[in-house]
Amino acid sequence: MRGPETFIQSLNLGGRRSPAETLLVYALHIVVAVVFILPLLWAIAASFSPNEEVFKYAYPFSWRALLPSNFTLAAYENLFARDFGVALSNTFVLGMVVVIAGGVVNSMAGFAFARFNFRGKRLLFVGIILITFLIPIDLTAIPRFILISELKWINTWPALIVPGLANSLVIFLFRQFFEEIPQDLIDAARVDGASWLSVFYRIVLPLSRPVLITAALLMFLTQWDSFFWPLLVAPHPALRVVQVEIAISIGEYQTLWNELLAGSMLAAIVPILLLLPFQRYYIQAITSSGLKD
Amino acid sequence: MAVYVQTKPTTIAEKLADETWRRKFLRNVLIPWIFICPLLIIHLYVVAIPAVQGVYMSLTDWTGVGMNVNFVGLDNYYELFFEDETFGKALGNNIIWMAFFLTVPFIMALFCAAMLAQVKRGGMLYRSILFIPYVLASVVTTTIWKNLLNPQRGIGAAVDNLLGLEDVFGVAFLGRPDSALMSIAFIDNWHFWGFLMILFLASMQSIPPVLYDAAKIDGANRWDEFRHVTLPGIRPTLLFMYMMVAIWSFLAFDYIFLLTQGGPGGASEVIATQLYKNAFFRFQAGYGAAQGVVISIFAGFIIMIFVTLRRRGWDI
Repeated sequence: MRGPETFIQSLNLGGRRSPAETLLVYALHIVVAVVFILPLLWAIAASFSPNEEVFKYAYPFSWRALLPSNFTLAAYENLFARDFGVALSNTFVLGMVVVIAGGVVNSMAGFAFARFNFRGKRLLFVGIILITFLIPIDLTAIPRFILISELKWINTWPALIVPGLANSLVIFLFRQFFEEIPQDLIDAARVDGASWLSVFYRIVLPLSRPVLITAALLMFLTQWDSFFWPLLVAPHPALRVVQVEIAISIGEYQTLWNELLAGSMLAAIVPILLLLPFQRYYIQAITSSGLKD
Repeated sequence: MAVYVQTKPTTIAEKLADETWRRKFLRNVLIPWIFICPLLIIHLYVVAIPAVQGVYMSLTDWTGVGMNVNFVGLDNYYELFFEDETFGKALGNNIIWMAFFLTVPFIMALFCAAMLAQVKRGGMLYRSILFIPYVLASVVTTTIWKNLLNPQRGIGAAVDNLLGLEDVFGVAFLGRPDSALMSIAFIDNWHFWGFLMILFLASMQSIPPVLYDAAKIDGANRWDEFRHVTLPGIRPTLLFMYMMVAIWSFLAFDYIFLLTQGGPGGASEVIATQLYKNAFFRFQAGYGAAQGVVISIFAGFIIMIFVTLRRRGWDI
């Protein structure tokens, strides 16, 4: 990341701006960036402060609100003392399992849609993408919830994992990528006697690193952010995911703002660390597909 | 000249004996379905079958528990549109929500993206800063903003204090019927618009610079450039996002539910929050399902409009 000097210079580019215009553009960018990042800075500072001092500098407001007052890790220590670590590791495991299993399922389907011609292909593709797209989660959530309880899956891992596996955006991305792979490569392997499955795993997948990264990112983050479904099917403390844990503690520990904000910061750091380095993949995926849930 | 007449196999036994037929069968039927199968099974169980069941439920008076299910035809829909005033209010709120999200974030994103598109150095850092709110989960965003909008110790109180006022800005924005919905929209937008801006930016950066040079030669000013080069250049992205945001407006749920649960007194209620309450708290699963179907119909209607426009030759 660049230092502040380069950042400031960068706001003032294009020689054809008048000085007044330059100043305006420069001021505007700073204001926008500050306004949008300020709430976050305050939350970070508050999470490192003792609870009674969280709002000390917010009212009357001073710049000190953006620095922790009496820096302490107490909020984080208390969080982990009451099983926030379990929620973190649960979410991590859930994310990894969905990335791996969902990656297999969605990439195989994407391959079929991209490289085979079979009857009903178009109907199936449009049906899968459109249905998931149009229908509010709540409409399917009720029957799905009933299905899950009939399977006796409430408060078990499969209830969390299985519904997250099929992801229409990810299928769409895989299909688009696999369509670009040269036919010659596949033909050559076929002539050498490779089965379709080994063509897929030995030839196609190793060529597909960018789309694999994007798909993994999308699926992991979807799970990391998921909230309502886990709240419905797995509220048991041993199975709680991060977002559920935070939402429940808002109800239970209403006044412990430093701890709530510390939990929020821990929940936020993972997507930030994942998305900033891989931003390019993510944005390319969205712009190339135009889809995002 | 010898003529080979290949007879087409007809019976199953003949077909199985025929080498080319077997290969075709593998290539065009068996193998594709093996690849699709895992997804299809999951999709059927998780999305397709529940969707059909949901539509059926909307035609019954089922409470959501027990076995007592009576088919009531379109009664639920009649009640929604002709008897239930809270539904009319919720639908109105969805439309206000849509009006907000089709204007405010688009103007902000277009403006900032247009300014950023010319920046070549350091732009990445700035983009990242604006992108961070989008990355945060709804639970995190709402936790932070609940604090910031607190009437006693939030931003409003701080502004009042700064200006020597009392209870002008330091009011419970989320707790008042006249400001609840707009406050939630503001918070959701804080999280959302950076995403839109980055999409527009990516789209603007793929406009050939030659077009801007040509516009300059023609004596175009900054606004002319934006109007005649930038906007047409990002038109596909722009219109597609218009469609998506219109659809999402009918699905709006998480921010509203986390911040006010539709309150106070239904002031920020939308169809999806009503649906959730009916299905899981009020023992009106059938009625809630009807609301879900209505949402899907609205969303489908919006897609239809766009598909029709595209068929008519619009470049969408």
